[in-house]
Amino acid sequence: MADTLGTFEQAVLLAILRLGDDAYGRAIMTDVRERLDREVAAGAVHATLERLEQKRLVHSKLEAGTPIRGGRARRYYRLQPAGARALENARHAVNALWRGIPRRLLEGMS
Amino acid sequence: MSNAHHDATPPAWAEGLLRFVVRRDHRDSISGDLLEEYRERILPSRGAASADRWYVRQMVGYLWRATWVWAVVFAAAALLRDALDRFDPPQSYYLRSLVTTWVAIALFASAGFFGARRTRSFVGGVLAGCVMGLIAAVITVTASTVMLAIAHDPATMDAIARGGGLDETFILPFVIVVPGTVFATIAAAFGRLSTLGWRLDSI
Repeated sequence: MADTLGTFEQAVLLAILRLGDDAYGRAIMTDVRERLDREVAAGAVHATLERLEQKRLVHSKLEAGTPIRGGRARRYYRLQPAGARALENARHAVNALWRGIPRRLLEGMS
Repeated sequence: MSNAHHDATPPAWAEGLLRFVVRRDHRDSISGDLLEEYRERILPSRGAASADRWYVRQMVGYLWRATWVWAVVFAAAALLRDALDRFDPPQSYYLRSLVTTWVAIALFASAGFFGARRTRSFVGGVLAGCVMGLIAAVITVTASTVMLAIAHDPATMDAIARGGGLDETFILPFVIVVPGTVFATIAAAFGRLSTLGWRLDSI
């Protein structure tokens, strides 16, 4: 069975997808913060990345650092086929939940 | 961004601790991400003192994530013992003390062993055990205070006195961190060794 993704995991995977070749830890953190419109703990992002890598949904590799980070290496992440499938499944699940709900049902309630 | 921000550094002790809490092979990338965020976004917008506090909060977050499960289990065990002693005092505390002691040793050792395995660092394991004990102590003392505020009738107070008194409730959880860290240290050595295989040179 495909992995079921939590909202935060989806946000991180989508950030990796969106950032493409520039998807390293801090860039992912920034993207997730902006998309969710709230502060996110660096530890939460890194723990999620570690978990996603253990599930083989993403793959990472180290590359050279920059002076702003004291020369420390950047870890770049790339979506794996299993990660893409998990995201597709998550999208299908949400779409299925919304199917048959007309927009007018929500209008006037919020 | 000014050069001052470019060269600014977060508290050295927090950076040092952070490096022992995260996986050895992720140390550089994670501390680099935090340093980049600190210099590029946090420091220019919040100032030095607030940026330092932000960095410490992030580091504490890593510590918390690495230890909270063990700490909550430990605190739950300690509180269960505390509640049993207060509301169902036994004739002899020997058996309960024996069980509690071995549970505590097992939890400190587990935190140290698995902390060292996860971080691939001996110091990381020792730190995990020590912090686990401290978090558990804070949870235990807080919950014990609440229990005491709710139930402090003469019978309960008498049971507390016979079980070691309030010192046992409020001081022992912190004192136990010291011997607990010794067990965590021994277990951390095994945890680190278990990740090494034959590469003993990298300990």
